[in-house]
Amino acid sequence: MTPEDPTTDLRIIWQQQERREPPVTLDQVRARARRVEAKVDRRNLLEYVAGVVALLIVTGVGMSGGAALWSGPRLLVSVGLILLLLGLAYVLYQLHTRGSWRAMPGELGTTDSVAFHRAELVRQRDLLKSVWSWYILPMYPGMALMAIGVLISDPSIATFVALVLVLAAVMSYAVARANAQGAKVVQRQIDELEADPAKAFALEPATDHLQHWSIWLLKSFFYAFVGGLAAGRHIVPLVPGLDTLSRPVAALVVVFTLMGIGVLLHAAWWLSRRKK
Amino acid sequence: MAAPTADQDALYGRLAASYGAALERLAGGYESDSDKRRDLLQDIHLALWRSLDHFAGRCSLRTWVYRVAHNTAISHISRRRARAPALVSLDEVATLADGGDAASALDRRLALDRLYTLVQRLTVVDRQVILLYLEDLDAASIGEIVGLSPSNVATKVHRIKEVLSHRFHGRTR
Repeated sequence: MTPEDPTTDLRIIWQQQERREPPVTLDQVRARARRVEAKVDRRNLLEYVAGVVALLIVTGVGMSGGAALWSGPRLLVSVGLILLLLGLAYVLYQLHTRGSWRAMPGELGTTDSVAFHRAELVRQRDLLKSVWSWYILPMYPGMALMAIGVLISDPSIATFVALVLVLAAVMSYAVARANAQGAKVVQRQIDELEADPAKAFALEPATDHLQHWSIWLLKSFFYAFVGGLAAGRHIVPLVPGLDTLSRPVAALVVVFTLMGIGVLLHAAWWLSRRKK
Repeated sequence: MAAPTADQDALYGRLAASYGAALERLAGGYESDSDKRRDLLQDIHLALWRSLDHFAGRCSLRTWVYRVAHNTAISHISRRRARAPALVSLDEVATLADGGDAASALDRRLALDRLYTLVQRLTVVDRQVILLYLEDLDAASIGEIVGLSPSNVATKVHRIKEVLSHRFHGRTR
């Protein structure tokens, strides 16, 4: 600090300003660490509970259908459903482990800010670019098996199966396209960062690149699929007019309605967290 | 994660005592809202405490502390960037009206408020440079933390002095 430096007084004011917060203590840090770990534990527990419930539904459907569900064309449907649930579990695991900003304690201190930011952008870009392999394709073996099994056992609902497959294909394309566009935005940010680090953080944000809606839609679709399968025959008589429809159309209405409820619940949950 | 050792706790205690005030000022440079600022400050302390297990002495402890703090702050603001106002560079901020009042700016508190407002509007790299400059770090140390060359930092520091002089010189004494 030289006396003739016109900013010396500002730096003194800056460094001598009164503290607005009481000093953070080690006990507070430990308490926060426990809260963070408890939050992660709660989230994992919720997913495990959802997984167990889904498995119970599958088991319940299997038990109620008796041995018939585990032989002939029905075997394909049952195995397909299990594969579908495993695919969903895999996607959720990938989302949790790779989908959010994460900072390993060591990297925070060994990496300068520009390199740290670049590494995060590269990770996000690669995640978005590979959305087919970890987000979409894991769902298809189960769906394909189920579709084949249903078609063999009951050719009369071929229209319903075709509609569901078309819906799944359209959603997959929409998800892949949205995320590919997100990857391009992130790549532009990486290019900008490499050209001029100072401008990197001034870019317009691409909101959440892994689009919220695509996650809601896909998760809701599969929950609705499982829910419709487990409880569809109980729901149809409860809704006026639904039992007058043909079986494929009624099934489609149930699945779409459950899916809509799923998307709305996700949106409400997201909005409530965003306000905090 | 391995449980923090007693040495790690002791080192954290020393660093919190030495850099606690600077970390609070740093958090203020990223968050104007008092609750969010407190939240960020606690996140920084938690990250610092956890990080010390990985400290191998390849840089100074001061560099380590500031890297952890700024990288934690980047993660923090990146999670909510979609709602943040547009950020501007040092060159752009020089052309903006500062909304200050020459008479009232004599007050140190107001000068500080205006300084925080200016810092929070800057792009992240410019913000990091100015925050570290205000803490009296030299260009080489700033470069090591931010990831810019010392000459690049020197150019930015020169620009910072111009902007600060233009906005505050003669008003804060």
